[in-house]
Amino acid sequence: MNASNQPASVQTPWLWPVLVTTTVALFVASLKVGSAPIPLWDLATGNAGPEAATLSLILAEIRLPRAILAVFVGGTLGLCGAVLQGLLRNPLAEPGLLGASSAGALGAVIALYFGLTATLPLALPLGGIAGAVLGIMLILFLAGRGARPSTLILAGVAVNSLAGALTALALNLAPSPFASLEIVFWMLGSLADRSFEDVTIVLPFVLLGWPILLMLRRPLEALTLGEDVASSLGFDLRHLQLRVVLATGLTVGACVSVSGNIGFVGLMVPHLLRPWVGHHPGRLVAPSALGGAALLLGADLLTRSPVLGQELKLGVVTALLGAPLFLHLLWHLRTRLL
Amino acid sequence: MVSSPEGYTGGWTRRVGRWLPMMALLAAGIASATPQRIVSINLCADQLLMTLLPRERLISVTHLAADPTQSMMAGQARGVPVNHGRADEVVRLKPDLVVAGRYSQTQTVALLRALGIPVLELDVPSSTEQLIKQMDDLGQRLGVSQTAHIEIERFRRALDELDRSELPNRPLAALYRVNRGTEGRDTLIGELMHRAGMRNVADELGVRRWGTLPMESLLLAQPDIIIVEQSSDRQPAMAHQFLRHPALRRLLAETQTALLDSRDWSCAGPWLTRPLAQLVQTRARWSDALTEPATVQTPP
Repeated sequence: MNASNQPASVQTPWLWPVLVTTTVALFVASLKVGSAPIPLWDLATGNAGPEAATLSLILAEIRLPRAILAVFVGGTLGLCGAVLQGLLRNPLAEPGLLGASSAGALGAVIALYFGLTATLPLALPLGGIAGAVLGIMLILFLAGRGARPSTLILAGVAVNSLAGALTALALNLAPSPFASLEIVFWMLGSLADRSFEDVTIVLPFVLLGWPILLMLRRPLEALTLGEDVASSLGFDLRHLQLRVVLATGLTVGACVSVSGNIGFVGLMVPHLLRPWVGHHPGRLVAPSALGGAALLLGADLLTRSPVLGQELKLGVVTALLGAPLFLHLLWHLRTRLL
Repeated sequence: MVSSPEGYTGGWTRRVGRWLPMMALLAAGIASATPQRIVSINLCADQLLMTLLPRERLISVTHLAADPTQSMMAGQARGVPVNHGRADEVVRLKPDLVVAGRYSQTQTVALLRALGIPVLELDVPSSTEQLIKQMDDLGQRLGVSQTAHIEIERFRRALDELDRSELPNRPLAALYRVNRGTEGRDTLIGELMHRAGMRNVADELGVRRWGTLPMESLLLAQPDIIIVEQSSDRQPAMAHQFLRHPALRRLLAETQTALLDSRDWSCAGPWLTRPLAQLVQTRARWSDALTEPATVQTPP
């Protein structure tokens, strides 16, 4: 936990191979595992038997888009968690706890249920992005850089409950009778039965936002030396903050608009990876993308486990995994919180 | 001796005289026990009551009953004052009976009862037998047994006429509701599927009442018939997005499909013969296609 215990330059050499292998393995597993296992090798070699047509349809139209979405959404949440934690120098910062995700969900809900998407399909991700950007801006306004963790968490609570209440209100006022039942999806998220249509909704914004987030590596590193030093090194902090707001808003907003609000990924991933990059916030950024992808692929596999006979909501699994870690972090921060 | 005939007649009149007030009381009692001002605060109750009751005794139905996207009796509900199922509205109507749903309105029902208003809670029938019992009970309670019996008889006859459960060849059917829902054998629609001579994918997946039908399971089941719930409500919602999924569209294009209007079977009532007739037709189309394999099926 303590950075001074490790030499500053140490990055575990096997971190990348491990992350890449895990992500690839989980990606393949999420193609294979489901209501029926798909024998990928047999299907590829034409030995899958009479069910081949159905199985390849399931593979191509259901499991592949689902796995790709898990990579995009999980990667985005991990990436944004690392960037926000670095920018705010606060281990509790992440899109879910700060309310960016729920604000994004609110934007998407308004776009979808009030008919904007019917006239303009792009309205769905754009609504999500608008919501997420506003959410982060509100957070930075309430508790800017260097705020105490308690202030930041309280600001997150405020934004989260406001966005949650407005989402419930919007769904109640929506003309569709199904709207109020669908609040579960927006609050807890799911990747079940999504299609390539959803992938194409997210793709452009991920392609736009991820490079911006990945390039924040150096300014975040400079920021660890203090804001004054960072400015003297030529990093404009207002500019940096603006880039973070826009890039997180773009990616989180677009992802939430197809997956619903999935919490705790952005909290867990940077925290788990931090010891392996020598506690460098800058070096944490890129691995957090892969880590988030792997975590969400794994969590999505758990939702398909037949133990309960029912699909779990994805946000339920990530909360079950993430909430204990959150409590653990709070326990260790309690001296600073008070 | 002399008094004997007089005593007889006197005894008779006296006896009648003694009984008359009691009979009058009894008659009055029946009349007062038969509610005259009835308010419904549940969409399914609205439609059953509009079927059974003369218009003047039904003093209010829910706003949903008048909404053509929710109710198939919106035309009949026109002109009936509507309520939104709230206790304060209902109290002002001074009903002598409120009919409510059993599961959705427990708070309102408790409040109305505490205010001394009699409430009848309708169960959600899970079989046609339970539905018939419900109509029968309702008829007795409302003093319209005769209408209820006519409706029940007509319903029974239609069920018998449409029964295909004994046909040897039973196609496998999948029920796909909005938001990926499905229903098993212990539901009305499950029973209708059985009566139409179909096997139900939900039964094979172990769903007895309500459950989710993931698209993967639907594709793997390779059903002969797909029954799609058609919501007349086209307002944008996630619910309708699943029907646009490319995998489902592919399956629908090559499978016999029945499109059931959700208004016809979201509530239990004698109108359930309508979706049953549709299922029977779809089954017939399926077996025709079996005998003429060259026929190209076109999805509706």
